[in-house]
Amino acid sequence: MAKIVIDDQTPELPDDEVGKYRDFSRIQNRFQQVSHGMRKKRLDKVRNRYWFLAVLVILLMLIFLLT
Amino acid sequence: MPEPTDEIHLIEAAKKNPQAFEALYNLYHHRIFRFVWIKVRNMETSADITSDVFMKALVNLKNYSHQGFPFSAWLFRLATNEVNLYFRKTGKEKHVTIHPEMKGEWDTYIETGESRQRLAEALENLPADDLKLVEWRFFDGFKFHEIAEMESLTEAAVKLKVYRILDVLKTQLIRRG
Repeated sequence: MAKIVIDDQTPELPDDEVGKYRDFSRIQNRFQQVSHGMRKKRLDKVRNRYWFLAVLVILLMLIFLLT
Repeated sequence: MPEPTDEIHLIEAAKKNPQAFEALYNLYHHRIFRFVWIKVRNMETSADITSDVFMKALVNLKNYSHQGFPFSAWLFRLATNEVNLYFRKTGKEKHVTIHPEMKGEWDTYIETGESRQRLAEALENLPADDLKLVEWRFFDGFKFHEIAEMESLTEAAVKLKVYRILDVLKTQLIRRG
């Protein structure tokens, strides 16, 4: 739990300074990275699932052939 | 403040095209930045946290469904979570100021530095969800109906919860004082 400090007054936020930090391209770039990562993760998941199934089928065929 | 119908159109447009989220970003950036800065008191950190808030809003926008509450309610809830996460991670001091409209409620408990310290300690001991409600109401100055929107509760339920928490807090302060 964070330590709380109760102040008498809220200091003034320099309004003109806030504008300097408004940068939508930063959000957009991060969003693109995240959505690219999410897409890659989803593809990897599908790929892993196919690999698992393929190995399973090969194993079953080997067992079937050897018995 | 945008008309609710305009806001719905902006949200729907942003769901289809992330670039369209810029309109919502420009609309709410200042309010969210200020909300964060009041607690953090550092421009760079506030900018980072605000950026995280909008980033999370954009990522989760597809799950957002308009239920008659303003979009800002959802953003403030995200901002509260991000601010709390920051303080949990860093262990830094969280600054709060009793909202001018709420001063009357607390006058007897903040007369001296010592009594203010006692109130701060009592607040630190509150469960996180209770502290969040007290902060929204008494420090951030949100109206009961706005908190109800943020919590997806009825106004009456929020009032009941807040006053119960307040009773507990005041009892603790009287016992300590």
